[in-house]
Amino acid sequence: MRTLSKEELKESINQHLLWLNNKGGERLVLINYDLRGNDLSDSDLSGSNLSDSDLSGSNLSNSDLRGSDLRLSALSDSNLSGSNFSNSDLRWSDLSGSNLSNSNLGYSNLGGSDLENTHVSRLYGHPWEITVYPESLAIGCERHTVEEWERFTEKEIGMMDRQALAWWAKWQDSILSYATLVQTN
Amino acid sequence: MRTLSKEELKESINQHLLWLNHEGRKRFVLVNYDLRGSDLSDSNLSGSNLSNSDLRGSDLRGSDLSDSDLSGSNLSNSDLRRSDLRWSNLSGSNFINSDLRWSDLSGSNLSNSDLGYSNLRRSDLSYSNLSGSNFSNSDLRWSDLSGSNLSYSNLSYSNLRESDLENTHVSRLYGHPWEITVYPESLAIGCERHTIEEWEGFTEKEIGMMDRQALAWWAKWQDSILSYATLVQTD
Repeated sequence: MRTLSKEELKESINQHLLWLNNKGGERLVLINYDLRGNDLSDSDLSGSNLSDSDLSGSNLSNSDLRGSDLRLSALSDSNLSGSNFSNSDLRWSDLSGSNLSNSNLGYSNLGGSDLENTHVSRLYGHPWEITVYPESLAIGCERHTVEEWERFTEKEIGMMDRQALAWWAKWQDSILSYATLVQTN
Repeated sequence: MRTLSKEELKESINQHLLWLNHEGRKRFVLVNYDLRGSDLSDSNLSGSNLSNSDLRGSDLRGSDLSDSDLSGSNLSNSDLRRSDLRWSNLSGSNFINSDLRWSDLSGSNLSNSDLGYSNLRRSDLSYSNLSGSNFSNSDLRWSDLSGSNLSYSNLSYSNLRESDLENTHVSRLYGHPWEITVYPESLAIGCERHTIEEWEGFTEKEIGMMDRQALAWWAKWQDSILSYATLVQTD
C-alpha cells in the first residue's frame, strides 16, 4: 500500500475539484492507498476511485462521494455522518463501526459490504429501495424517522405514491419492527 | 458433434428466412452442432432449433431467437446483447459469463440453466421460468424479474439493485454478517438455506454449529427476520 502526505492528498483533491468543474485537473484515483485517519470532511470526492484503499478512522462527514468507486475500501470506524454515497459502489467495503447517520446511501451498491455496528440495513424486493439508517427509514425518496412513519395517516401514505397505501397495509408492521431492531444496539 | 463452414451456416440462415416467409421448407435445425465462436448477430432465427449445440463465445447480438429451442446448449462467454429470446426454451443451458444486457427473455424457460457471472443488466426476465437456475455472482441491476418463478434458484452474490422483483416472493437483505435472501420456498442466511419451518425448528446447538457468531445474532434477529420472510412468501 502506498501513502500520501497530507499536502499531497490536499493537492490531489484540489486537482479533482478542477476535474469536476471541467477546468483541467485530474480525477482522484487512489487505488490501494493508505489514507487512514485523514480529515476529508466537507470535500467533494464525487466520481473518484478510492477502491482497495484504507480510509479507516478518517473524517468524511458531509463529504460528497456520489458515484465513487469504493469497492474493497476500508471505511471502518470513520465519521461518515451527512456524507453522500448515492450511486457509489461500496461492494465488499468495510463500513463496520462507522457513523452513517444522516448519510445518503440511495442506489449505492452494498453487496458484500460489512455493516457491523452501523445500524444500517438495505432491503430489496419492494417497489422502492428501502434503507434503514441509524436515525431514519428511507422508503424510496421518502425518508422519515420510525416514529414519523408510525404516525402517518392513510391519506399521507396514499399521497406518497399511487401504490403506496396497499403496500403499506401489508408491510408496515414487519418493516417498522425490523427497522427499530436495526437501530437499537 | 458436427460442424458447419461459415458459408453453410450463412446458407442455413437464408433458408430459415425463406421458411419464416413460407417460401421454403428448411427450418434452421442444428441440434448437437459445434458452433463455437459463430457470428449469428442480427440474424432472424425465430423458431429455430439449436438444442444441445455448443455456441461458446458466439456473437448473437441483436439476433431474434424468439420461440426457438436452445435447451441444453452452451452459450457461455457469448455476446447476446439486445437479443430477442422471448418464449424460447433455454432449460438446462449454460450462460456462464455471457453478456445478456438489454436482452428480452420474457416468458422464456430458463429452468435449471446456469447464468453464473452473467451480465443481465436491463434485461427483461418477466414471467420467465427460472426455477432451479443459477444466478450467483450475476449482475441483475435494472432487470425485470416481475412474475418470474425463482423457486429453488440461486441468487447468491447477485446484484439486485433496482431490479423489479414484483410477485416473485424474493427479497434481499444487507446489513448482517451474512447475505440474506428470501426465496419463494426457503430462506438463505449465508450458505445455510432452509425452509422457514426448518429455521423455526433449529435448536440453539444447531444454530451455534453454523457459525461462531450465529447464536448471538439469531437471538436478536430470529423473530423479525422469520416474520418478514413469511410475509415475503405469502401473497
